[in-house]
Amino acid sequence: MKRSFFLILCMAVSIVSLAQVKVTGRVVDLQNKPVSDVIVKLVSGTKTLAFTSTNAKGEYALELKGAPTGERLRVGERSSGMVSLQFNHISYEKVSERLTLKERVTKVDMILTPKNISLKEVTVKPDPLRQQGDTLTYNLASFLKKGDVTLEDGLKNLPGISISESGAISYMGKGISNFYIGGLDMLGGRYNLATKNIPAEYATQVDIMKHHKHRKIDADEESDAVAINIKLSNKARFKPFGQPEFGVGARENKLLYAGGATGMMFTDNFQLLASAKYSNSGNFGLYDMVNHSGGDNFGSLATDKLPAWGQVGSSVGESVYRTNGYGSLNAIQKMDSVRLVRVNADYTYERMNSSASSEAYYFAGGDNIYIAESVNPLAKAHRPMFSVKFENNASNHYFSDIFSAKAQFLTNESPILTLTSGDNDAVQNSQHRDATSINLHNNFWGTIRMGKKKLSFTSNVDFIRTPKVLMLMNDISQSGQSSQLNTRHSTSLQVKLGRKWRIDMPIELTANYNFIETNLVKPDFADQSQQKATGGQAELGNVSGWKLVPGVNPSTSWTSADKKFYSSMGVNMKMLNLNYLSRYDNKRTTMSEVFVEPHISLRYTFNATSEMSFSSGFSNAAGDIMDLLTTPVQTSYRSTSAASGVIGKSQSWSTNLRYTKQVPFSYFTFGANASYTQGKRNVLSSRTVSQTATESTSIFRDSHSRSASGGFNASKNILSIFTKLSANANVSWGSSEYMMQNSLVTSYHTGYSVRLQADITPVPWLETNIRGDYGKDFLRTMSSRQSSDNLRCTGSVAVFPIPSVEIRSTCNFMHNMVEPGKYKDASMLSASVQYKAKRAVWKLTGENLLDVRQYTRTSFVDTDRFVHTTNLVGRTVMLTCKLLLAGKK
Amino acid sequence: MTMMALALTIEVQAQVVTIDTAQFVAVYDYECRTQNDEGQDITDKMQVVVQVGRKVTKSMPRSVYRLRDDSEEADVEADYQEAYVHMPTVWIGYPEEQTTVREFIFPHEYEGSEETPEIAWTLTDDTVTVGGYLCQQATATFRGLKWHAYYTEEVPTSAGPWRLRGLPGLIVEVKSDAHTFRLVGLRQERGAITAPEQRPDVQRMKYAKLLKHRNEIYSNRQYVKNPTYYVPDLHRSISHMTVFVFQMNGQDFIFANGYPLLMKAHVYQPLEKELDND
Repeated sequence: MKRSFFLILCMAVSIVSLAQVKVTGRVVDLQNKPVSDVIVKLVSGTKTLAFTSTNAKGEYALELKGAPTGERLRVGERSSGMVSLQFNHISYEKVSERLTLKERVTKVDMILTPKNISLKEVTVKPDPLRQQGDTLTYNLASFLKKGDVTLEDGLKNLPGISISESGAISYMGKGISNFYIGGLDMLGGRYNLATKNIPAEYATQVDIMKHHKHRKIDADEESDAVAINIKLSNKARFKPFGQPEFGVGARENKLLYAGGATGMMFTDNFQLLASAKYSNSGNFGLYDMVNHSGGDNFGSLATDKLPAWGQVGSSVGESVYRTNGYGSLNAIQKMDSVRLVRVNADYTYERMNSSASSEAYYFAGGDNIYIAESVNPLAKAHRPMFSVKFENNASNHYFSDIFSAKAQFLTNESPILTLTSGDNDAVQNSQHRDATSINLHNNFWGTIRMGKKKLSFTSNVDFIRTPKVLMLMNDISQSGQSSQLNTRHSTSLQVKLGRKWRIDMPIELTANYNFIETNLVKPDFADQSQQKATGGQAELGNVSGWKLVPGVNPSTSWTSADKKFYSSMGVNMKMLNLNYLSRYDNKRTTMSEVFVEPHISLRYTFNATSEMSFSSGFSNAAGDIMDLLTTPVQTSYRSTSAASGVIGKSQSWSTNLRYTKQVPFSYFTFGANASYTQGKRNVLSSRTVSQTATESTSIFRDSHSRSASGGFNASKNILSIFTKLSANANVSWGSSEYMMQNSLVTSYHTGYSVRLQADITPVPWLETNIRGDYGKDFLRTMSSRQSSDNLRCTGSVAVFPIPSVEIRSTCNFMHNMVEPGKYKDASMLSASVQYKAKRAVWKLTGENLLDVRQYTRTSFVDTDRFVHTTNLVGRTVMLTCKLLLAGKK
Repeated sequence: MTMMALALTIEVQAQVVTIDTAQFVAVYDYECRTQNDEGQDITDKMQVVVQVGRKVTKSMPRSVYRLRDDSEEADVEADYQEAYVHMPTVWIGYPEEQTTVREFIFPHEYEGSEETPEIAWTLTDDTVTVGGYLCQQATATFRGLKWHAYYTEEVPTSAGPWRLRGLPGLIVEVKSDAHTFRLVGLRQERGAITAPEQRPDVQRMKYAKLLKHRNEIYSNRQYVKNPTYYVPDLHRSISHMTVFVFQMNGQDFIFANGYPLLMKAHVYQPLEKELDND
């Protein structure tokens, strides 16, 4: 009994002592380097008592936490406490050491000998290659919704693509540089002709080409351009197809009509698109002819100096009655793999009229001058355009030449009924303007690669001629003409030092010859000119001369290896040389001056969620020939303007700071920005307003301006209720100096605006959107203090009862200050129903259903306050149908 | 020229950093038993490749792994299948004594890191032959899931698929209620084990936070019907990505930045529910 008790006691002591055992050590290889991930096992026979693995330092610690029972030790080891410590690693020979676990802590270091491993091999299937480089390929059909009709509708669904109201396509906020169909850029900037007329279902694939280089020779250069290529389905290729469309409607007891047709043909080497539309409804084909490359400008010196009277716009509803039509013919022929010829010709017609009344409170020192006007502007424009392009686009050379000719014939009427504070009777003033502009343009671009060098030359030549602008205002006649020959030639040299550094050294030469002549004939002047026919009268203005500006803009950029930091800095140096002659006062003005404009840009990406960017730069502007046109020019029945006769020079320094942050998972985005600009000009704008006339000029005195703005935007998605909330707030501040009524005025402007928006999609067939905007503006001068505020709420609901039917309704509510303490409310309602059948799309649209005919708002321009009451286009109902005609294959 | 070449070399090195050399590569079939968006039982399958190095073990979906000597025939369908389960790429031992996890949760790529957790395996005496290997059994509860593992001391490494590791031999088979990893072979390939690519657009955080958000997003009931339900503006979110649509057998496979973009998902079966209080 005693022996048994003793034996049990011994075993108990043995177990207790085993339960406290710890084995530690370090495992190294033959070079005494630590070996990690060595499996260290404490075994008894085939039983594993404990195991661990070594860390990066080769260290291990084995602890027998749970007390092993005596049964886990082999019989022979029970009394001795002998166990085996094994060291196992796939790359080393297995080592084992016998231990007697009598000590509480046992230290065992081990040296392992390498071995060759041998494993049974299997084959792992390869990973598919999904490298698309800079090209994103969308399968358009995957993104099409049932209600989509045109290619534009389909593109709107593509991730990252956004399309403005005028049809401009941008990817991630960046406007596209080229729009290709089947790899051919037939339409240039007028790609709306394609996006608004090609059926969505005819396009199968959309390629977004980031870092796009249109010129093959630029393949090795950096680019941040984005281009789009549309691939058409086989049913749209190799055979013509067309889309006639028509519509009828009613507005203000008048019949509205619309009709048009588009025919297209696309083959691998030849493409053709012809389209014609005409409508008096306002928005039918309105944006088809927009040129997103910016070729729609018809401005010239004479038309800028004697500008047209514009239509009255409205931020709510439609205020312009519009009749528009166009015919367009576009074709492109690929001659071989590198050469092509493109021809575009079109004619557009536009007639616009609108009406509004305004009350102006012109700052005039102490008492303001009150003038009430009622205007009915009408404009008719005819614009023919023709262009031809030849391109040879090879990988080792590039030549292109684009020649274009365009003209604008504009007739402008703007009768005005005027009531001034001093008169009781309104006065009817007539205004008529005719202007013709012709623009010839040639652009040549050539690049040749010679080994590792690349030599580029570009040449732009513009000839702009305005033979006559004639403005008849009551019995005043103002006419003008101008000619401009503007050329710009440049070469470029670029050096890359690795991938981090880049040096650019563009050299540019601008050479311009300008001529402008104005002639103002007033009834009293006419008499004088007759009287002084021999002596001459100063109502004629004639300035001509040339400007030569050579410039070099060396810059360098550096990007860190981890791409987090980007910096760019440079100095633009240009030498302005000019020689202008004012013929009637025989005054010659010459100038030769060097301008230096440093600029810097920094960007730091903290991490994926936040980024900060900073830019700052100094810029100069000088040498406008218009500054020398000191002769008064009449620009409306009561306004005249005259230049100072001093070459204007302005300097400005701008700084921008931007910070963006996106908090992951919670889908909260936040952005903040701040900017500051300070400027100085050597002339001061001066204006004198009387009951009968407004005279603008500039005087030779420095003027200063400062402006600062800041804002933030934030959006938050609330997943549980399918709601996205977003908020924007902005504040701006600025000061500027003017001469008003012969006294210097410094005005300070402060503005605040807030926007709150909620998008809610409670069920898939219902989309709702609510938006509220509030803005308040303050304007302060030494003698006055004014403020205005306005509130606008918009709500829209879209319902999709069945996939082919879309019902949409939008409501606007405005609450605007008309005068201090007095507000005016207005509500607008529009709705549409669209039904899409296989070969036809029917759409019934109702605009301004509440028939709101006026909209009033208050605005400040400099120190003047205006209350505008715009007459709106009345209730409009229109039914349109678009058919798809495709020939049999 | 030398400077340019040097700069290029530095650039390349900055993008792909080799942190270890694989001693061998283990390939596992992974199965996940779950339900589809219509509630029907379904088993998702994919392969997980584990590179076992001297210091670092890297486990990744097969699509992430490339074998240079194999053909480049694409298996889009299989890759797309990977999106139904949420298998991250895991570096155990990188950085030292840490575990780093990279995964794509639309529309971002995330990286979480933590000290490598020890899994408290309990060894049992059961032995069984699995896939030709004599195996022993072990059990452990790791972050809310109970795992049954068979490991073989014939391959003396503590490595295993995904984050499962720490046994005195290579894991041959390991399963829980919904998940099974099964070794389908070994390949003696001494390829480079590369570090997580250092890109500024990767969202980095502590692993606990990544795990919490991952489970919140995928466990939401909306996820199955609308896998991008949590993205406030899908179009804007996808706008910075490379989107590629692959057509096969009349089916569209959409990839965003190389990651499949699902239109419908399967019920999420988490591999980890929550961090253990250890």
